[in-house]
Amino acid sequence: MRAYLEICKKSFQERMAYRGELLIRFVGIFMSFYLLYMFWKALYANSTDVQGISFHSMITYTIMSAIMGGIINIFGILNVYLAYWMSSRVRTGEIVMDMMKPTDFQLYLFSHSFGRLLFNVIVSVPIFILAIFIFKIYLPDSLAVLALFAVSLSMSYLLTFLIDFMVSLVSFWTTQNQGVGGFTRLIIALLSGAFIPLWFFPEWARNILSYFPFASIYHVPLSIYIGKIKSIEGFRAISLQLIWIGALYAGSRLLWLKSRRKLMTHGG
Amino acid sequence: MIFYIKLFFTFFKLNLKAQMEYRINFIMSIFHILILQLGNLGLIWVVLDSFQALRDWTFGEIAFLVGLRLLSHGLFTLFLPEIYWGLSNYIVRGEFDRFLLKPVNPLFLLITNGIILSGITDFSSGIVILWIATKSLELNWTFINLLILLVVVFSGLLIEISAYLATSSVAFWVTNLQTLNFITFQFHEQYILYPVSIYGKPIQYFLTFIIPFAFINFYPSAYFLDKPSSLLFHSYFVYLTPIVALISFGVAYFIWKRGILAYQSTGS
Amino acid sequence: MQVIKIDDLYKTFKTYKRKKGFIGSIQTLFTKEYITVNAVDGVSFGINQGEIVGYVGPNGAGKSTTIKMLTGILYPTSGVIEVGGLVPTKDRKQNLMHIGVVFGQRTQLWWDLPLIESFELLRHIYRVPEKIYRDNIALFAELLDIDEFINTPVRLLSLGQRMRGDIAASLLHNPDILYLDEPTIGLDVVVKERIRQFIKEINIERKTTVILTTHDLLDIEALCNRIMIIDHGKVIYDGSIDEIRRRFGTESTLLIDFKEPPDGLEVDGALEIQLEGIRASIKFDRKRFAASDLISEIAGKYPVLDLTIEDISLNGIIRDVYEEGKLYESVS
Repeated sequence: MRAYLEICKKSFQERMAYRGELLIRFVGIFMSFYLLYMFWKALYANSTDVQGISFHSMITYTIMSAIMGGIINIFGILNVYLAYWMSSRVRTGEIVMDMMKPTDFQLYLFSHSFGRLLFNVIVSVPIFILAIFIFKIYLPDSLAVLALFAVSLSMSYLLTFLIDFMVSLVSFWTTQNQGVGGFTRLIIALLSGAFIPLWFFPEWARNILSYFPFASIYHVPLSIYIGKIKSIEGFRAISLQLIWIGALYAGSRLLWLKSRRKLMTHGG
Repeated sequence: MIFYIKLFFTFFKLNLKAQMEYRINFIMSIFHILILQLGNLGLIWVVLDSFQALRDWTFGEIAFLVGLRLLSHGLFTLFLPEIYWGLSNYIVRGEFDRFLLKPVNPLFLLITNGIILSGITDFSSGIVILWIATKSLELNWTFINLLILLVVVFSGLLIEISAYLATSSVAFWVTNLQTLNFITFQFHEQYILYPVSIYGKPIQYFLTFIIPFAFINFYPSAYFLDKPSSLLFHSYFVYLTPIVALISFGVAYFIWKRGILAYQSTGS
Repeated sequence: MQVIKIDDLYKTFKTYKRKKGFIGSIQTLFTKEYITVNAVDGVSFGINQGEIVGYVGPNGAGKSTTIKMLTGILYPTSGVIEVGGLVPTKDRKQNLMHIGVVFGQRTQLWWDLPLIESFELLRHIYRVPEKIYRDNIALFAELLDIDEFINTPVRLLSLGQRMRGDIAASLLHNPDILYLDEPTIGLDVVVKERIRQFIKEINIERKTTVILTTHDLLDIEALCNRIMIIDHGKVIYDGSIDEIRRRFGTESTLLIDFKEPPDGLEVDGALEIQLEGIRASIKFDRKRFAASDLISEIAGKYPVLDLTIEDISLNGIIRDVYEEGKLYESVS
């Protein structure tokens, strides 16, 4: 346990070394916020309430989505970092060193990711406060809703990590895998409600999407935050998130065992 | 001149071969871009299904805007990506010398130093999206309009080149200002996907007079789609597109020349 | 015939303390607190056609700044540079047509492509006639064995192969002058020797003028008849290697193995004696004593098993020159 804590601390410190890049990140984030704001404002120019959602709620949803993305996109928006890291370690054979450590490889990567998560959360606080003042996004109705949101957000993070982990294992089969990482992220961005809430999607699309974990990543926590999903319904959505985490965790262990066997029999 | 044209194709052939060394990544990037462009358009279709119009721009009109941008951007990515991705890095890492060590125009050497093959996908999806727009708006393409379209696409290319050349050249004087590059990127990559009339006046002026990205697709679309009501200035601005392109290139080339001069007197 | 003429050349860099971060970089744009550094400080020399000149000095002495001015990358602050009758910065392209440049630490070859592709491209850039190009490829195949790896992508080449490729690439257009910046850095002894042989060959065959900066003084000993030492932007020595040896390398060491450990070894004229068991090392000044006199003196007194004489290496001399300022003393 101690070892994992150390890894977590190290990866947090490593992020701190890049705090010079924060300015670019801030500029980028606020440029996107402004764009989102103006985009929805232009859409709401002719109506006040669409699908039961006011302009105010919509802005809160979309800006919270961007902030959330900044928190759970651990390995860069395009997710190339982890895939790249893994493929270079497989190529150079350093992966063997990682596997020989008396730690669980998945937990090892998780600690790494968790350190980055902490950094992202800290960075997001001033962004969140500024967004409240500039774009008038609101806080949830009650502390209970806020707590529910926090739980749901943690689930989103776990889901993202599991997907990232599985994608990075593609490195064991081909080292030209940066594309796969970016591709997964793109699909998530399009279909998880990160940009356009799923209630705008046509019925048939929503039916198909209900068989995938995408909605659990953005749509659920954000809907809880703005109060679109309430009480019992919220618990049900979170249970679904949990089920997805269980399924993906099992899948990732299986894939990991296969990848390891591949490496051990073919030498990478 | 003939010398340069021949040399250009020699470079192009070499770049093509070099890119083909990484076939899997190339194929992935084709899918990535295809889904990115069409997926984003799909999302816009989804919201406009509920909202009807973005201020007064319909789905087809926005598709036109997006397609037009992709045509010139595809050419840029295919032939000249180094201006954006390479230049400031070479300068910051002290590797710019190599462009001054050959008896050829340094800008020519820079632009022929790399191509990104997936620019073809950008360009093709641009055509597809423009076709979707044409269908949805029931546009009739006259010969004159096709001619104007051709001029607009190449002018757009020149505007994009100029914007990135000018911002990247700042690195000749100040090496740690990559934020500027990033801002230009955001404007070009995100802001002009929507009609610039949805933004506040300062941004509209900025995208018309300072970094004239509005001339890449907004003013031309207003002309082709006959939308004088949403025009910031005048429908005849479309005729200014080639002039704006030439002026911006002149300014950018001047900055680049001064940058090289500064580099030659200070080294790096 | 002088192909390179440099007269009273200065290069002054104005640097300023770069401040960190966005605000800092904005500040540095407007507030200019300069510190001036004379990277090249009043250098004058001429180089004749066909010479091989070693240009040496510690890091930051001004070597590469001089080379950059000669190739037209940098403007001089003041002074005159003429290369083959051209001013490098003014007639940049013409000058570049007549020179070849190799930076040992960087490659001009296309990383992902076979070597031959880079050559083909350079042929177009320098407009090399077909026949000259083919002859050169044949010559490089013969002297550098580049035909062994000419169809291999550059990223898969060994460092030695890549360097051979880079040097060949810089000579495809038959330049009059070749600038080599650390051409043997990181290579093994065999490849180094090979490259030296090649440079010599080209120099003799084509009368190519070669300017070589290196930290490996064996390169200089093997190739150059003339050496220029630069330090703090000033040329502190310009002359032949024999001369530098004669003037500064007069200290030799005599290594003797005796049959049995000698008692109280005393040698007239020795600067320093070290004795370890049967082995003695005796330093002496060759200007004042002939080695033969010294040997017969010792052999007369003690039974000698074996002996060798070691000259101080060029490396040692040059280190002395710029570390101890020996040269300034002897000049003044």
